[in-house]
Amino acid sequence: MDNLRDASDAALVVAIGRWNEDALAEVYRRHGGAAYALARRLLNDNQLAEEVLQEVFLRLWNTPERFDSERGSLRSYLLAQTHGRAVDLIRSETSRRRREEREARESTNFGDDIEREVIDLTVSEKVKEIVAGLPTDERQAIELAYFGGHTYRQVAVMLEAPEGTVKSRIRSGLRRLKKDLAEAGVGASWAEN
Amino acid sequence: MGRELSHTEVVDLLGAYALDALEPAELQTVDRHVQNCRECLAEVAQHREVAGLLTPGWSKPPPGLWDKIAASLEEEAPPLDLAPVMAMKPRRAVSAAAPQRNFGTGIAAMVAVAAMVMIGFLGFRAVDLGGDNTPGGTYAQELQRSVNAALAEPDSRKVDLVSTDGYRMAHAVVLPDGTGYLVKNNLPALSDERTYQLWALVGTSAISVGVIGPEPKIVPFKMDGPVSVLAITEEGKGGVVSSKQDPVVAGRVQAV
Repeated sequence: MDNLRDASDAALVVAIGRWNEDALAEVYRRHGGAAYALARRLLNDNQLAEEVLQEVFLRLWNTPERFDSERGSLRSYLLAQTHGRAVDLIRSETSRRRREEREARESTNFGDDIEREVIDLTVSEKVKEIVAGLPTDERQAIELAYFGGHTYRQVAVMLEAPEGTVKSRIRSGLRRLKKDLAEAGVGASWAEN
Repeated sequence: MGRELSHTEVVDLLGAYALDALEPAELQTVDRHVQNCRECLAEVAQHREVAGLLTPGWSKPPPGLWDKIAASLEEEAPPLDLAPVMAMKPRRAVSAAAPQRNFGTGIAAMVAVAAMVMIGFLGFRAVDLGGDNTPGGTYAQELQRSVNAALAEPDSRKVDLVSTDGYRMAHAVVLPDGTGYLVKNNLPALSDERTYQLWALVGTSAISVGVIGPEPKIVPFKMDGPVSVLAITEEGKGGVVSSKQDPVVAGRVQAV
């Protein structure tokens, strides 16, 4: 197990491919908390978040070859899996979503949510600053899509903006974040360990 | 969205795609494009890295959750005779109970060809990766290291799988514990709707070792029991529990 603590994420995934349960435990130790936080944030339900986490780690156990380290970090892979599954659950409860959308339209102050979310990030204050520096319309679109689990068309309705504009804002906001994070030197150290 | 989208149209949607914010009707079309477009795939990966940074920090998972996951691993990873056919590359041997089928006369002919053709491991050797033995590296590199180690293992068994005409071949290496790797092959790439499937012959039963995709390269797999032959068939996407196809290639596994 000590060796696994020093292993790269890619090496851990290969070990998982050899049915090494300790390797999966090490991946859970490294990234389980981030995945759980995301699931809980999206679902607002501890029980559902646990189920999502179980599913994500079982999927890694069963099909580790789906992770391609050349396409990104294991952390982002697991978080994308977590996000996708959580969004599936959110959207499976159509009536609940409709109610939440109404509530969101009526009461949400869109501007500050991402900033509030990253306050909890252990990564850095830099991330918070960079997110805060995003144009408001891009930040709102990303927040509603990523943390709200809404489709870009739903976001367009909520923001009373054209669909094409919203999808462009999401993409341009993500690209701007990438560039700003890279310039600030953020983006690699959180990938492992 | 029934129609195909142009590359430009898909690119516009990549941010939403990366955040799982597409409408279901669009998702399939965009997904199909992205999986076949390196440029789009790379952009999606970048977007997901960024999204990962926005994740709300770290919440300690509840005590006992790992125990639940670990307990379910035993259920999800049963021994040879219980596991389901896998939809992706093989890791677990499958279904000793189900497929009681022999592949017909093809398999014997192919094994005979394999015995005669001078191919495969005569020219096989571990790939030099520049002495990089650190724990780092990509999944592909790690996998290659595993293959190299398996090939260098004195007790490993090398298997040449050959077609009846001798033109198609695949090579595998199997360690004493049953861990194996499909190392290389010259099988033609299939369409996305087709796949190759790897089988192990135990007695008269053809056991699915796994579905290895339409264009397999290095593929890890696991087999158990007294396997006498490895064979690869071509099947519909997703694979089958019991094959009705003759093998594309097959080769005899030396007894331990």
